[in-house]
Amino acid sequence: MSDTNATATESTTDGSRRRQRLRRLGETLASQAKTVWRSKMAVFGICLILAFTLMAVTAPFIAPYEPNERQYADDGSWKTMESPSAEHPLGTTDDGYDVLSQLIWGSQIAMFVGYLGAFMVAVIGTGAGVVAGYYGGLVDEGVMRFVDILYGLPFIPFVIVIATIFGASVWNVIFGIALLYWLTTARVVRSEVLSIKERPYIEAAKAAGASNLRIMRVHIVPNVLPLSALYAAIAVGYSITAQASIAFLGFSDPTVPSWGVMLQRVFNQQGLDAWWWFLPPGISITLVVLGAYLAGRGYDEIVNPQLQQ
Amino acid sequence: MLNRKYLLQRLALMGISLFIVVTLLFFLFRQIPGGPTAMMAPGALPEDVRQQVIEEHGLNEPLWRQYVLFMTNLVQGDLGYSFYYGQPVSSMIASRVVNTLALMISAILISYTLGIYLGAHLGWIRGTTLERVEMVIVLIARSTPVFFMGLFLLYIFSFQLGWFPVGGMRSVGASADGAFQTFFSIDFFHHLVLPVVSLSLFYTGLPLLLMRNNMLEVITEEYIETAQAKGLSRRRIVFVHAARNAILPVVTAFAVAIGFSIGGQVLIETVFSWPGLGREMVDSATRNDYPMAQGTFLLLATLVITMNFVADILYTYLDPRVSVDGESE
Amino acid sequence: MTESRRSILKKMGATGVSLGTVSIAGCFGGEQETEEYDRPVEEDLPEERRIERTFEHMAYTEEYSPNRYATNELVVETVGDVLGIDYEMDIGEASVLDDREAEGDFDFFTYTWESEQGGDPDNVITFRYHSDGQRNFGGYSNEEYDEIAEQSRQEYDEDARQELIYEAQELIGELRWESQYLYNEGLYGYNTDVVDEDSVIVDGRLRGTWVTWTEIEPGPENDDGMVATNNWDATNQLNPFDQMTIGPARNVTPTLLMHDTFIRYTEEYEQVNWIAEDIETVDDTTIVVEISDEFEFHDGEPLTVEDVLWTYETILETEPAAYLTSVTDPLESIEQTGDNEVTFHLEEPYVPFTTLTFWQTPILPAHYWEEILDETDNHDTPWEVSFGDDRPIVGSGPFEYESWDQGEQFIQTANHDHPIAPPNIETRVQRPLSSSAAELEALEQGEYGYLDYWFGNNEELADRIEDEPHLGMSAELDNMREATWMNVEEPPLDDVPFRQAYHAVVADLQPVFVEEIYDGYGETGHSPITPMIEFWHNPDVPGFEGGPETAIEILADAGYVWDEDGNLYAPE
Repeated sequence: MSDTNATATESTTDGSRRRQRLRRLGETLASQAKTVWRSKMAVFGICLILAFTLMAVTAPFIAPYEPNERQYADDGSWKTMESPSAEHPLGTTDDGYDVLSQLIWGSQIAMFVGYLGAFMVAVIGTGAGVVAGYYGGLVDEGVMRFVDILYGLPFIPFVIVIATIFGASVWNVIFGIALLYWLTTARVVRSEVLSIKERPYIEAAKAAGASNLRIMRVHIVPNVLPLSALYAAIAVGYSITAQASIAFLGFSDPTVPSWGVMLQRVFNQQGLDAWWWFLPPGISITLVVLGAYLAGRGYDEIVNPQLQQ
Repeated sequence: MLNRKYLLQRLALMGISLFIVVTLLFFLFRQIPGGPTAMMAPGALPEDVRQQVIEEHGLNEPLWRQYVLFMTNLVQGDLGYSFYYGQPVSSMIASRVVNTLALMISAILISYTLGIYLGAHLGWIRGTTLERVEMVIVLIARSTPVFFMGLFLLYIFSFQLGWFPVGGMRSVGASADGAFQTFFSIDFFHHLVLPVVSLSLFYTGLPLLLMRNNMLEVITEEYIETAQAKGLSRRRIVFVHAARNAILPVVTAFAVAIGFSIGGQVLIETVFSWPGLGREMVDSATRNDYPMAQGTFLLLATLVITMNFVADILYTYLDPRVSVDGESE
Repeated sequence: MTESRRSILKKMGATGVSLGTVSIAGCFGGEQETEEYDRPVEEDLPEERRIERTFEHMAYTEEYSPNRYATNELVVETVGDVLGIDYEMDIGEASVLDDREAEGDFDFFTYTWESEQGGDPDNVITFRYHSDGQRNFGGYSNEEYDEIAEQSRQEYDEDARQELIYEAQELIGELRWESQYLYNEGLYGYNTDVVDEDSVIVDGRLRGTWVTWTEIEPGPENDDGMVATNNWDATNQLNPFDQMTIGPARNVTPTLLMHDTFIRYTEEYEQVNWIAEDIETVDDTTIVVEISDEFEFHDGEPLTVEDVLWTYETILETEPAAYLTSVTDPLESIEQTGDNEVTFHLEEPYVPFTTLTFWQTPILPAHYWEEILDETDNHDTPWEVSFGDDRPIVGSGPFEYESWDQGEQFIQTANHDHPIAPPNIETRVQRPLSSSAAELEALEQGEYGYLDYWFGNNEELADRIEDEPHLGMSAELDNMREATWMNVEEPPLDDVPFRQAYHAVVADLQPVFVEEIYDGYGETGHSPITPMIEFWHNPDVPGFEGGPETAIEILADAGYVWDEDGNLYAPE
């Protein structure tokens, strides 16, 4: 009975405090956005990522053809290895497919894996880091030793093993990312939490009888969010590279058009001479990853003010 | 002086890590299609031979017995027989390890030397346009997927210009009698150049950015003023005194980097037909040569775990202030 | 297993992050538009008649051969579409899929295989299609066929045998156990700075049967006499008792070069005596062979009747899978009947014994093998011995084992004392590279003397060879055909009309395979024996021309129907 009452009162005050907090968070975000915006590099990086995201989302509308749609010449023969023309701005592949279309469709899986990877890195890494740092003691020891053990699994070989056992598919990479890419985030977030934990207002909140969950949610997570966001931004790049690498090695589903599969085909079908086929997927990966780095660096300057000039 | 208790603790932890990774691998490989017998007794074997293999490896025993047998064999260095080569996995892997390490260590040494120097340099020229340009170049090099870089260099410098061999570790037919002749010959270095450059271009970013960030932390105006008061030149302050302080975390990251570099290693070995552990792992995985895939993976994992241990020990000496680009990989 | 995985993935997809229009794996890239076919459509078909299962088409990885991957991709797409079945590619590495084939664990399997071996088509007629055949992995069984096949093995009159082989081909064509894609032309590039152009053997039949001449005849143009060739791995097996050594080309090449057999084939593709000095067929089941005393093993020991007896007797006793059909089945016993003479007693007449069997069976050094078998305790399982630098292969052939760095290179040195075929070169190296792009460059740069095989892009190779004056190429139809083998044990693949319809669709694609995928290097056709084997090739095998329409007609006549969504239903 009294329990319910307590919750009720708390939630009323909670409402106004939440608004207040939201406003504060909004202000912080705005000032962070300004910092990011000041960095031309970061803006450029974000633009790059947005451009490829747009490409992925609009692929069905902007891609001239299906990724595996055979291109026929007037006499019914296949258009194989044709250099760029008005009709095929990036030429055709050895199988008579349109390179530009493959590139555009390929951005879907890249961005999907990129964002999903970033999301998982942020959520799992932050969650583990906050829990370990906040509770300390055995919990901390347990989580961190678990992290240590996972550090012993090299990523690409591990995904290869998974692919060998469960068959080639896009999910192997995603599983690998979910299992192994959040480790560093967890470590960094944890040490940040360790220092936040000592701050007076946490003590005050504890003294006021706030629950652990609440303290973490209200006082700790918002403070480590910039850090998580930074790692998430960079994880976009890593995840995309990881997916492409695995596809290049032949452990991804070859029927799903992706930049890695394109490069694998170029390599296997003597397509290195066909620069129009070889360069675009490689440059695309580089650009997205670069975008992620630049965006991350802009953010880095917020987190590590001493890097600002 | 290193705390002995701490060292022992870390050693124990390394042992536990290895144990858990091996256990995980054992149970993962029992999940392969066709069940555990497919792991040790490939289908094409005549039925009686197949039965014999199954018995020898205890594959008809309960899982825990198989596990005990697996662990016992492993401790004795017995990783089973490769399906494909029909030879003990351990003997097949031994030669590959050396080839892999030769490539890996060369690349890491080069990228760390270069990275530390360039990082200090970037710290020195901070705030200039040149720094921005260099940073962009560094970031592009670091953003390029290592296999794409490899393919690109292969195409330009081998296929087009013919300056370097198309792949492999030594010339056709070259048979050296000892490790020394194999790894310290012009022929070997000639084959080493492109893979090492591809890897180094990728690896250099990490120590470089770490070094730069540490330099920025170390070189405060106060620091420089104090040093100048002692009559030191600005250049000397940056490259000798500040760099000496900034370098420590980079050294720690070195050990971790070896672990992280394995992914790049696998890709580059594939692009350049390098007869190493990484390429063998890719090949054995496509061949469903499970014992071989398992063995190569175990070895790679052991390498990583050992390096993490070394890094941990170094951490206790040095102040670990590792920045974003430095760590997540 | 796959089912449960798929459902997990579905769940993951459902609960996972969805990003606007970005769909989950499998849906990436949108749908292909399907053509409309004129198919008999019925409504309210009973569910149990629906052919619902997913058919798996095993094929080698794209990395192994991009061309084969492309043909299969096209077949799976087209056949699935025309017939209205769920049809998927199932990609794997050669050694994996070969194992699965041997277990009968496949629906369709595509690879390239030769039409004859050792100058005899028996490997098609009996090995593969007799119900007891050694390579009959698809459950092929037909009494009429078995009878023809058996007769063909016993018919010593060539013309009468040709008649039987013709009949067998026709029947195979009618039953459609295999569906031919094309007869392949082998492209062999060589570098004239390394090998003497005039000495290069260009006969496609010789390449296909891996006859010694192609390897020993090329004269070196370089100083050290070292000639390297690509081979997709420096082999995985050297043990001549192992099935994998006698089967895939990558292994049998070095094995045939290090050993000698009773007979070989000349540059003109004529049978010549090799170890055998004289072969006399006394009657249908008795063959007397005079052994040459000029052969010597690489360790200096002479090759004698003892070694011949040991080899054949060991095969008879231990029955290695590699020789089940050609030695173990027909041979009853072997005995020494003179200083240099052995007599073979066959259980029943077996025509290919003096061609195929004598060509295929390497004579091994008894003294060396006895020692090894003692040491490794493998007397009952000689195929389990593995060879390497610490236990080299000892044979008598034109090339000697030198060294083998697995995954890197395999080196053989010339045996200049060989009585018949001392090589013109000094050293032969097999060395794999990880892509055909690299192989082509290695040929151009002179690292390779010639390309043993070429699985890359044909046009690319031809263009490069035309551009570079120091490169040459021969392209000839060889004795290989690329085809799909079907596992006929499960419905609907056990139904002849279904298989005929399948081939009708494939036959229609054959010109595309030849012209577009193989860039014109190949021929179309419907018999399992290629036209290169002129004497045995039957040009009038039913090919079910007419493409998808014919396919639909065949199925409709057999009682198959489709629903409105184009799904296939079995006859009542």
